[in-house]
Amino acid sequence: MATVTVARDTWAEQLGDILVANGKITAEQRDWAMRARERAGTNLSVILISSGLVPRLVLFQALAELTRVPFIDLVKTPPDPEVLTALDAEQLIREGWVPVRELDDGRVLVAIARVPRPPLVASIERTLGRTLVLNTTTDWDVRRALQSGMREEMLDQAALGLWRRDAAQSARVNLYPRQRIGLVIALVLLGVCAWLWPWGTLQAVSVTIAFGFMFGVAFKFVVCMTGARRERYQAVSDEDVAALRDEDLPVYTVLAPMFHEAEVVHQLVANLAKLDYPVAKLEVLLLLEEDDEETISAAKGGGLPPWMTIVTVPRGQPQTKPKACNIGLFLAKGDYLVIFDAEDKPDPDQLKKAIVAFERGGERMVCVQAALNYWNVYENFLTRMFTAEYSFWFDYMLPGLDALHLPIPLGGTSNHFRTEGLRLLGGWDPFNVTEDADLGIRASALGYSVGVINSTTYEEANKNLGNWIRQRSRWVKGYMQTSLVHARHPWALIRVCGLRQTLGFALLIAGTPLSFLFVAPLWLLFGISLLVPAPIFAGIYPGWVLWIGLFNLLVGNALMIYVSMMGAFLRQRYGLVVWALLNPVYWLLHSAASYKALWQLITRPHYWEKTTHGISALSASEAAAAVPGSAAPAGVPGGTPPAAARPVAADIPQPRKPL
Amino acid sequence: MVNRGHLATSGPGLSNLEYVYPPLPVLLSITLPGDQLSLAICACLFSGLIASVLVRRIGLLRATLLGLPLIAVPQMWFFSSELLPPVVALTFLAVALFGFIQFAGYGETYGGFIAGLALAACYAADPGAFLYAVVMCLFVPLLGAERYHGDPQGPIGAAAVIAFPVLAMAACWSFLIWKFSGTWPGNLDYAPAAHVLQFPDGVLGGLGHALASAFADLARSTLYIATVVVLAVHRRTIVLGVGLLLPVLALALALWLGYAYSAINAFYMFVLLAIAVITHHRLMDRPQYATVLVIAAVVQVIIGIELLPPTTGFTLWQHLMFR
Repeated sequence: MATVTVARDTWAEQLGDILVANGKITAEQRDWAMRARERAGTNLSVILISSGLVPRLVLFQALAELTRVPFIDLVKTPPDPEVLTALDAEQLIREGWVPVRELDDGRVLVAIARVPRPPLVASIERTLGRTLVLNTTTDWDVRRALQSGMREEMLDQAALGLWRRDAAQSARVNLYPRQRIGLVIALVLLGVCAWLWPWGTLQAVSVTIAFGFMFGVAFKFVVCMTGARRERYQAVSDEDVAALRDEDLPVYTVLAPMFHEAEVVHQLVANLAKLDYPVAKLEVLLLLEEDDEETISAAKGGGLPPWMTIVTVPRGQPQTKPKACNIGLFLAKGDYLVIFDAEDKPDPDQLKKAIVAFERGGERMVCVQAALNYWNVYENFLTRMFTAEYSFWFDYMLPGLDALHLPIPLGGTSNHFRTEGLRLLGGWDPFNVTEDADLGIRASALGYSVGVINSTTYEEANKNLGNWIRQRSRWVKGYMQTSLVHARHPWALIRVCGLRQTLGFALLIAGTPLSFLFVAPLWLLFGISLLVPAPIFAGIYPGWVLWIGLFNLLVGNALMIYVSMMGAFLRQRYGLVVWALLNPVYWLLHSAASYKALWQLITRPHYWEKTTHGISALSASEAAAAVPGSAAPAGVPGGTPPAAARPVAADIPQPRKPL
Repeated sequence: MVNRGHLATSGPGLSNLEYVYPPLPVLLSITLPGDQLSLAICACLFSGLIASVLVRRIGLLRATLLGLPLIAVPQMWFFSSELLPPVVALTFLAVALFGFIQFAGYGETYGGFIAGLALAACYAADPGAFLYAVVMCLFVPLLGAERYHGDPQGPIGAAAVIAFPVLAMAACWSFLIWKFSGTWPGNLDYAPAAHVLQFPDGVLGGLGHALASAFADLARSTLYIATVVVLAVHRRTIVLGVGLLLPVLALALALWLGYAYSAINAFYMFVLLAIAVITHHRLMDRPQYATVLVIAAVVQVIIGIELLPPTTGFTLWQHLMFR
């Protein structure tokens, strides 16, 4: 953080004095805010707004009075879209200004939400190439004006930015022509071989599938064991977090995309309110679709805290979560950024742990992934299996991939990014329905690294079978898309990532949907084999082929069940350990979902199967109790974090009542 | 093992799978050339593996001192070089024990992985390995409720983690034998599982005999006895002492059920167990304990030379080796 100069202190003091003189705050409140500003290392205006002491409009009107720059209400005087042409919205957001219109004398009227210091004014003049007339406005007005005035550019950038930048990285077209040709040729060859040499072809296909399964199981097991050996390793300790000083923390943007989730808005607000991070440096953007009036009403009606902002995502195709996140990326001011879903309950210190991890990981580390787990673990069979699966995946597989420097497919939430690094990657692919997994692989493909942190976000596990199938089919479809996208230039991928990483990507991302597709037929084959005498199979397949198949069936399944048991045990979900035995049934459900995914990949590749949230039967208190460490510390009402991070009403001096 | 390997490969396909039992040693005899010599070399290699596990865990000097009963007793030389199945089984048991200590003693889930998988591999050499799993499973509730954060399902989960691999291995192998040989549980005409569930001395009579044999084996294991006593003094608790009697009861159970463990097998196992417990509780760090334990090891060497019943084939082997 830059040292506050005498001039900056003077501006802040004068602003405080004006607000006191105008009766908007008391002197005590001003002094409190000044101290909070020192602690947080940020602007006084941010402290006053985020603490709720001064409404945004009042504060910027006071700023206008202080700087003697007239105030302009951009709601009543919206900018002329013509003057926004060819401007970089990210620069405008970062610098806090927006051109309003061209004046008759050729000057440009510019609304600014900052103190008009000479360097900033010079930058604006250089950008516009004109002389300026300055007015003051609110930061909210700047953002809103940009969203409105640059709506089409933002939408276009959010939807097609990655595709325009590098079409090969986008799933807008799933199969490139040469991929299509290759697939057709392979299918034709297979058909010809099956016609001419039926038994030989059957054996060859069986051997290929068998080896694929064997390598896949072996790979996952090795990664899992590597992750298990690191169970005592803490990427970021509590001492590391405690050593962070508020004034050194950067601005952090939280993107919370929501769609038809009116019933969980307030839950999300409450969960994010528990984050242990200075509110003055926290920017929470609720990304709500323009035509989702129900959720917008719920968000507005609930009274959002001043550090949360609703961002309306313009209507447009594809209507997906990654597109909404790209809109949020457009408007993000934070040096770091994280995605949280509507029902998420992140560990309060997760943002701070991410910052420590980024500092240690170096500039090439563009993302860190927190672990995901569930709070409604024991509701039914699905929630139990889902929890065991996630425990294995996030507590063993991801640490193992991290230790082995293999590509990490991101989870759908709790991905923390360097904002600038994310922009360099091109943001999310709005055409990929697992944009998170794709981004993790893309980061590796472009030479960046992804890490993991020892922090957990708790979510709601799907308890409804239909809902689960929809969600899982989308994930499998996304993995298929990601495989097709990143297999377009295999040699380039190997050159950048290396053979080991490329094979890891192939086994994990391509291997997962393939294995699910074959699970059901193989179990069917196994069922048939129980009814058929053994010598018949011995007559069709050579002995070594039978052994591999049997190895996969018996050892492969047993190992995968076992790692699931161990994942549940590590998470201290002891009641799930024995349930892991039912994983073969759970995998059959995966298989069903994978066929739906394959069908949709062909017929509706970009369709986003929306998962319904908020269907758990647990009450709010039961849900809260199910999250480890969620109990409020004594003396802090409502489970909010320590006073140092968030101004509690009792900390802010209240005006004395007149005698 | 060699004959069994020939039998296993003499039929079409996998029809003689029932003779591949216990799986691992017989598979080694099928795949390795040179018949008995190669199996003996294999046994030596596995014995060396046990030694390396011990040295890596506790250092060369301590491994040598505590391992004296395994080094200085002539029957141990025969055992380590000629009896492949129990050597393989005990190798994996040693790995499982140290894994279990990590799991039970330090709460490391990775140790549970190792213990479970090692027990499964142990079963591949010795079908009685599931009794080792039973002992470990019986031990986990003794770790205390705080280990499982007050969750009553904790011990069940821990037991499942330990036992699943060996149960899976047993189920899978039994399935294969049933599927390809048409028999179940296959041809167990091989010690130590030759007379499982047959109770040749009657049920109660067999139990008495088994308990007597097990406690006789314990009596010959002075190192293990000393370890239990020293631990009880060190920790001032009787709970662990009770827990350390579980292996004796497990051995009695195995004998009663019909697993014909030889005295030398028990001798070896109790030494491994003693070393595992001593390592976990760092008993050798205290000079007075170390002195007691080394003396007990020396006494056990003497017992092993003078009082250990000779294993079948040892006398001939000794004559051939040292004539």
